[in-house]
Amino acid sequence: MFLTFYKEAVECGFPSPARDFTEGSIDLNEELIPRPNSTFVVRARGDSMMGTGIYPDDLVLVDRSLKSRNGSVIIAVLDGELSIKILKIKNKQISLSSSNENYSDVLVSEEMDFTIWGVCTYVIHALSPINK
Amino acid sequence: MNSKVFALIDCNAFYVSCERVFNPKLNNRPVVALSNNDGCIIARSKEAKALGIKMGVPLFKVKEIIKKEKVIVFSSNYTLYADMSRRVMNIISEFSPSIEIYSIDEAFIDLTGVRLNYENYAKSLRETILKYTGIPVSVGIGSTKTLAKVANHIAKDDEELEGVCSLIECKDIDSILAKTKVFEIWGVGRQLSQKLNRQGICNAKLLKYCDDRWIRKMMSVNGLKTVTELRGVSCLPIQEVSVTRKSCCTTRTFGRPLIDLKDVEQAMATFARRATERIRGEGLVTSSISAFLSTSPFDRGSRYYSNSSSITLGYPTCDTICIINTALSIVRKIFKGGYKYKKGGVLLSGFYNKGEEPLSLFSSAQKEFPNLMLTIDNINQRYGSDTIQMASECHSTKWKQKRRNCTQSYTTQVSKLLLV
Repeated sequence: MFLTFYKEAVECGFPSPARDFTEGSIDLNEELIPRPNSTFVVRARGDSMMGTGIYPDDLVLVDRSLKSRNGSVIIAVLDGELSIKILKIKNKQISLSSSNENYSDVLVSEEMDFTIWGVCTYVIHALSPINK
Repeated sequence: MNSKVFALIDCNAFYVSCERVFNPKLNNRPVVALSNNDGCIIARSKEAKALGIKMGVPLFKVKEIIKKEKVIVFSSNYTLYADMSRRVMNIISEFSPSIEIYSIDEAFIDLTGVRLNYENYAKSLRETILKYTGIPVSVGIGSTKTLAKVANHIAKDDEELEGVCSLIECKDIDSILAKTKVFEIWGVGRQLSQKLNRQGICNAKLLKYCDDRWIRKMMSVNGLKTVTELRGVSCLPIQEVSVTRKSCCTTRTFGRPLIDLKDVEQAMATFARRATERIRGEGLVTSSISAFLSTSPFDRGSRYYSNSSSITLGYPTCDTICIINTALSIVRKIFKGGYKYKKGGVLLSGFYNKGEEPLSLFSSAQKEFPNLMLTIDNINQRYGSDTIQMASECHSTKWKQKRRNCTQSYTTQVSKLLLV
């Protein structure tokens, strides 16, 4: 995806005075996916993360190389199930929370099979879908 | 000392591991992946190996055990595997400037001169690949590629080694070689190993100390290279650049036997188009087109027939329309009615780099559509490989392979992403 990027605002109605200021183009791949080898795109399902701005059918970029911290939005694997959650770490106790009050937090206990698949970096939400 | 250091990185049960990344429920369960057309088992998880399911065995032979032990079976999803392979290989190349991609799931790297501890370096490579892609790998390190391969076997088999085995500082390589059977040695095929076994040479240690002249007689010059490498002297360097390909073949077993010429033509047109698209992607033009057809040699109920023929073009081309027409004219020549065709293929060869082909008196007479081809390639790349087809293919699905349990192209098609 290439968009032409102008350094200065463009006046309307005249032959573009900004032509001399063209600075190549924006490559969204480069901007949003600095580490393509470890970045995957997934599609969001369900409404549990709407408070974070992740709506059903949104595209979510996930970078597996990043280290997760308290508060990271992650793809969690809990007993083999993948889900988008907010990682909470308090006094060494891990819990997974959603950003929708209809869902309660999950305390991760020792017996649970829990891993972190990756850290979510961007969400792409369509405002006026094109060509669909 | 002036010795070299090589590492072989090999993905563990690669196809199964790829499926597991996108479906973690498969972890710790027996999983297998099937070859093209769901014929044979070509990848097994550790759990499936433990059930005694052998590599390469036809699916029907293990049906019972698969049902009884609830083994999960996948058709191979090469689109996904190729993308995961590309990621793994990219990460490996960040660890060494000298890499030879040996197959979809194996690569050699040269670590000569790396000042760090080799084992630690390999461990961090292994951890990085696992974290970034989810794919577990084993790393074998040795002073030759052949020894790196031996070390890789050990790394795979011995769980305590945590996926890394180095023979560089090993004082007793011979005792390891004594445990390595000859057919496990890189470059020694099944036939050759049987020949050696008959001479009493059953393990790598015995082979290592054989007389050179005898080895050359038994195993040819290449065999002698292998044995020299077992002795720790490197003869096989890292081959970084893949040699320009000599031919490009698309061949498939049909999902079910085809009897009518029309159906065969449709399948062969698709094979011709796919092969053409591949060479076009590599900037090549072809001057020789072959096609072949055969019935099943295993079908005792009907007669066997197999034939092939080729045509040399006066003007090298990468034009789909021209290549399909030529392939179909061969098909019409070799097709005989009354047979059940089970397999067919189109082979392109006699390549030149585009723009370097010899001039021909008649080349200007040939009608080509380079812009049309470019547009088709772009569309098929974006929307899936068979979006735009040639009319001669008729969107035919009769010949299509069995891929009953194929997962989605999670990483390459925006319409087929993993749902979370």
